[in-house]
Amino acid sequence: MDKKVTKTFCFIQITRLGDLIQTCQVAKELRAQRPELRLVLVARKQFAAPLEFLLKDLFDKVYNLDFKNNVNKATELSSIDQYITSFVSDVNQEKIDVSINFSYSKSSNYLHTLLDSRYKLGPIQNDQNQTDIFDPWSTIVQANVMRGPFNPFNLVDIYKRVVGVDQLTPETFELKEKSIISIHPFASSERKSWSIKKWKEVVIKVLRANTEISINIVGAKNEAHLAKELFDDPVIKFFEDRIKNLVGKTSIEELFVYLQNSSHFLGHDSMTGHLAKLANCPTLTVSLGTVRPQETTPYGHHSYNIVPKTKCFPCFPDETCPNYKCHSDISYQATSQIVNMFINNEDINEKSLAENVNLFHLNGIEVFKSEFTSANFFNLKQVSANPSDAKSIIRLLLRIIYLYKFSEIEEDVKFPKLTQDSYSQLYASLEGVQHLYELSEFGKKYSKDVILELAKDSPSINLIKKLTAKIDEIDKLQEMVLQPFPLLTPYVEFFQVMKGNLKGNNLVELSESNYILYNDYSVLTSTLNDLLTKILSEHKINKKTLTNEAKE
Amino acid sequence: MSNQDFTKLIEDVDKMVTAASEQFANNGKLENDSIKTLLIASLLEEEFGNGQESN
Repeated sequence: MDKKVTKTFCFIQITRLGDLIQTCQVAKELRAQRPELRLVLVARKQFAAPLEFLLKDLFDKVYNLDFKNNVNKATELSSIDQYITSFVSDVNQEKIDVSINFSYSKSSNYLHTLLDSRYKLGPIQNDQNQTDIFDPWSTIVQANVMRGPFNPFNLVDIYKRVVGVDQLTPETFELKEKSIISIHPFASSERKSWSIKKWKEVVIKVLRANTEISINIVGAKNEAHLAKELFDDPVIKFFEDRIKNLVGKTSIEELFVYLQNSSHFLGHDSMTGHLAKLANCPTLTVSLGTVRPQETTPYGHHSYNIVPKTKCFPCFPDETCPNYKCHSDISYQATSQIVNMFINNEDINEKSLAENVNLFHLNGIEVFKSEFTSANFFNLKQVSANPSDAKSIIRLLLRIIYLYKFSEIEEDVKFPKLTQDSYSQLYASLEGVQHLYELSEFGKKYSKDVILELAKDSPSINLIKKLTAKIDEIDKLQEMVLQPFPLLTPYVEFFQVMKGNLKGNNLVELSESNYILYNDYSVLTSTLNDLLTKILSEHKINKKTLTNEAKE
Repeated sequence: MSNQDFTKLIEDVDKMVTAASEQFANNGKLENDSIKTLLIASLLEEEFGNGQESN
């Protein structure tokens, strides 16, 4: 590439294919906005090699970490040690200006620490073997993506904010007449995908209702046995001239071409959905198990998502689940009806859902559509009629607060509709917010007292010890607030991650950072209090108006 | 690599991690060599254990 290089940026993405494709979306944006940058990528070879056709246009150089193969070939540990030493040394030849760790795993943190970059964004592992994060958007990932279901942003937007690219809406694309529908009825884990029997019902219903379409079933080699189960079915055999089994028969590059030639894509949360979006294909995702739709819905226009209303959704990989209730809460009947609307490019909204989907089946699900907000951030807009639950309100408020605090961005947001249940839960949480506010004010006071004491000619060590003990007590009390008010978890967790990353090399600097943190937290909790109070008041006013109208 | 070799490799890595912990205890901070050892141990866990499961 012939260009005058000004700075070298290094992306570290050593997680899976889906994460790598999402990282490509950020690289594409950075490449377009800052063509003079040298952009290099560190990725695992088993994930980067199949995506070479995408990576070669986005990155000046890809460093393939071929650890697995080297372990398999190794006869002793020293050869693995040599391989890692030489790999790190090769990357360090780059003279990296900025390295960005998008992986958030222990191994990526260690690797990031070993790179000689001038500035490091995202997590590193410090010399005390603790994770350090100094930029706010990576802190959001650590606090709210890794720990709970409250993250309000798509991962691509978070990555964009970490890098600092201008927030632009992706180019839109023309919808095609329905022709070839690509379906990927699998996911990386059992709990994220339906049984093949359910998919069979959807496929048959959609083929019957749309006689002009054909279907490509796509997937990887390790999913071929599941595809066989589908294609062995006698009813599916009846449609054999309209349904093609591509599972395990294509490279990812070939799959990308198939997706480019498809009019629509349907599947679970997986790499294939992200690839379909890169191929400008409208997507419909069926989210199950551990999937967080706000976070991982394919980033772009024309993305729909069917989400179960199951109380425990989304769960965590380490939680056991004997019956997969969320799988049964999304019925194949509702899904088939929504797929029919989707592939006919109909506007899926509250009215059309009520007209086309049986109310009984509709009650178990929520349907979302992608949109880009006034600030050009991806958002999942609920198109089904259900009023918001308490968790989604907390997520919305988190989004408003983070956007304003870290990027001074305000989005146009309408007052959400509440149910009686969500109203009660949020109303009860107000007391918890007030506790958090009071605790942060105490935190401010004690931190300030420490700073003042330290400024004296002969500071009292005993007094400083007492004050820091009180500060520790405040932090423990914050956690106790969560027991009766679990909805406030993302706010306390964000505070805890910030607290774990306080800047400062001595007691004075740390106390100053502590004071600033409590001050920020005080502003955050008072903003949360204001927003919650307004939402609750609006709900009461609307309810009163409706009651009066009903009386008249 | 045979199962036997792999078991030996894991034992060797365990020994190196123990040495890194001792170095940390003595010096009060991790040196780059120890960080590299911990990187190898965590990559082994992710590639050959169950550490790669994402959300």
